[in-house]
Amino acid sequence: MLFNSFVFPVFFLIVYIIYRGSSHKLQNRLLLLASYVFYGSWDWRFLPLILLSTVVDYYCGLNIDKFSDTRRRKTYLHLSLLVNLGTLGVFKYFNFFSDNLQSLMSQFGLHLDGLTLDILLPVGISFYTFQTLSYTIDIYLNKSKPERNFLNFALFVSFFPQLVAGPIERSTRLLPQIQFPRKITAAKNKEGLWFIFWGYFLKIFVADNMAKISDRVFAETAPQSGGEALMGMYAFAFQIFGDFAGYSFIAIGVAKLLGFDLMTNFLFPYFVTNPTDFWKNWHISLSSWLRDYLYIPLGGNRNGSLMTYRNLFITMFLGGLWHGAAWTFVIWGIFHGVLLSLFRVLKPMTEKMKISSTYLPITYALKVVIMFHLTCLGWLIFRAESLQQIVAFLQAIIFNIGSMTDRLQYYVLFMIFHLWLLCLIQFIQKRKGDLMALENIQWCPSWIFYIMMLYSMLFWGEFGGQQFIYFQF
Amino acid sequence: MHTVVFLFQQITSHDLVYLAAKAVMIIAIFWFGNKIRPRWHHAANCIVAVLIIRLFLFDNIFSWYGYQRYLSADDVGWRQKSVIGYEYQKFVKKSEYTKFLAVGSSQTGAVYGPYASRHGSPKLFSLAGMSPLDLILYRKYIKSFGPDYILLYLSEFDLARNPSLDAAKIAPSQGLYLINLYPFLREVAEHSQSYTALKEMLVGEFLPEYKYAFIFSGIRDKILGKNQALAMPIWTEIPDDLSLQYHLQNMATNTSMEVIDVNNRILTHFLSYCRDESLKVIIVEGQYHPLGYTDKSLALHQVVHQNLLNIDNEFNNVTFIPRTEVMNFTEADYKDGYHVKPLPAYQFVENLMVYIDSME
Repeated sequence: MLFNSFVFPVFFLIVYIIYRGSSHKLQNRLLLLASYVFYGSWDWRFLPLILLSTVVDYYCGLNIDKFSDTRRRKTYLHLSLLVNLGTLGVFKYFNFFSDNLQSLMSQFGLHLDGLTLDILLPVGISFYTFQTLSYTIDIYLNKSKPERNFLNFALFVSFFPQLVAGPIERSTRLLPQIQFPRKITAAKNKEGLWFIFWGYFLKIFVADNMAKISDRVFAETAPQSGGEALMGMYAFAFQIFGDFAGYSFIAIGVAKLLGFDLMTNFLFPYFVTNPTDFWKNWHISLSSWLRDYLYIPLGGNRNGSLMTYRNLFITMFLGGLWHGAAWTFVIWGIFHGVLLSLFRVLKPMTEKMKISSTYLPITYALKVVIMFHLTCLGWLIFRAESLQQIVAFLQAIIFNIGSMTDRLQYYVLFMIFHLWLLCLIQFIQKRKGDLMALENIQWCPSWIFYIMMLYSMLFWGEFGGQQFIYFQF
Repeated sequence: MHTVVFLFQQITSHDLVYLAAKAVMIIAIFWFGNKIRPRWHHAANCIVAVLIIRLFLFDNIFSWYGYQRYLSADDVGWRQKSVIGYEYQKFVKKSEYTKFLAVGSSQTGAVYGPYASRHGSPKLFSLAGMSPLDLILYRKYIKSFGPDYILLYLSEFDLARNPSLDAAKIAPSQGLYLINLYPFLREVAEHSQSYTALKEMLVGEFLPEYKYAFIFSGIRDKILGKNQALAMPIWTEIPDDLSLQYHLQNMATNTSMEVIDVNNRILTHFLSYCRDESLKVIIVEGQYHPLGYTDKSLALHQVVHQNLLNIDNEFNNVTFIPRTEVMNFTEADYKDGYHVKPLPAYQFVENLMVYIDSME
């Protein structure tokens, strides 16, 4: 059941009406049932897996808290890690590793056949396994207490707005909202409706239209010209932002209507000036998860520069691998590790440079443009079908930028047509540092923006129920 | 200037009353919205803006004339171009008397068009790819002509063709009649194994912006030069022999015995509506390129022909004229798989009019 399908609004309306008329306890039961219906609508065979994760982590959480003996606590933590990461490993990475192993063995003349599994990747598995892992790890680290009510815990794991594509919530944020009655205020409703509206705008108008260009460009192993390669990269950059951020905002908005506050997952990733800030604006729930449960436990930046770079590489390597079982994702992760490390090296030097205040806006703009293009380079690696395609695109950009053909001109105009409103709104939001900034602008009534967004969606939006990109993760 | 004058002349008192009523409603919403709590001002202003925009975009002859002039079938699609024409025609005053109204697909247009353009009769209402379901969906518009006779041109090409809801989204709003229609729509959706078109149609009932989005996509694509940039095929320039091959292939693959029953029921539903509205119908048995007469199509023809005979017996407002009674088209008479050339079409209708006169 996709957010941008015809079925979801009907489903949510039914749930919402019953929800508003129910007591707190009934609300939780209703949400749990709705979450399982939502998840089961993808494929009912996925349900036992999420149930397994729920039961194991509920049991492990209670036992980690119950025992003071470190060995026993570790045993239960390891059990939780084994089940969650094991499930993820089997369903997501088994074929990837076995294919690579077969390929490696064949170099030595050994042939290993029949090592692949014919299995479906359960939707959202990367998200909910990380969410439940954070629960057991937090209990182990004494940062939180276990949830004793199994049904409440099951709802924490399966809460439908954020189940299949995040944000990846922490138990310290979400569980208390489940445990205690929620207040649904007019302000929350307003925010919820805005986020849903904004999310649909990003998905239907921005992402699915950008997909037309990026799919067309990336359908060919080698692009017609460097200009088209660039357009394909830019288009994908906005496609993935619109797609993923759109989903997150719809999830946040839906949750707000139910009285829940989910964490912000996206801010202004294409207005940043360095890679560190990029990861504070992009997929914030994942980057903060990796920081808290991987980077910091590895030592973070506490043990000198070399160890810091090592930790950054490991974190980003695994972050890339989290996205999918392919070498392009791994390289993408390593690429961001390189960027983060380079930034750490260059930062002290750049801070020493004195720039006249007259040139500060230009410098800022230049940094934004450079960082945007570095991000797009990463997206090229992320989106490419193969390493050969990455090489072909880079060669085209560097050696064959090409001339302005009709097709290239069409791509440029098409992108300007579909992106100008997004860029304007994001600029306003960034200036005010507030995702609700449109409510408070002085120079134009906000309803004019709402009308423009509404008509953009109705006239030029894609209502074909296109899959969200991050569902494949 | 002449065109502008013509367009202004089409505005009737009924149109003015309608526009005035809408203006009053908009003002009322604006006034009321700004009188109630401030948090509802945005919502009220949005509603007012939407209603005003709808007036400009959809509720006047000027806009539809503009869309019709600016957009071609290559920009928006054949059916969509027909629908724009239909929407424009809704605003154009109809002559007082219509004896014959020919209704059907572009095949019907090709048959009746040459005679109609010379003699002013029959009046013509054709939509690209019009199907039996479209007869029901456009029934009110058909009735608005006030014809003595509705001329249909039907064969197995129409009645054995796989039904589809693809064009239902851009059909006129059905309002409460949707309840009557829903079983047919559901059945067609099941046959075509796609409920998306049905859902789109239901959404389009409430949102003309969604229904007519193809106009604005077409405008965008035309301004941005999409067809030229992406080397899209120019359907209006496809050679006739290629069209013939495509049509024959289409007929062979998109017709089947299984769908005759549902199409027949849809047709009889329309004929019942005509009977209830005292509209007489003449079903002229249709033809297509003789190369399309395969064993399969002849088998389909037998069933469809018998169904049409049964309809003739069942409905006292319907007359069925078999193809053998008027004129048989030959290969040389066809431009492509479906559409006859002007001269044989003219002769056909001339013969038909004589035949109808002899019946009266």
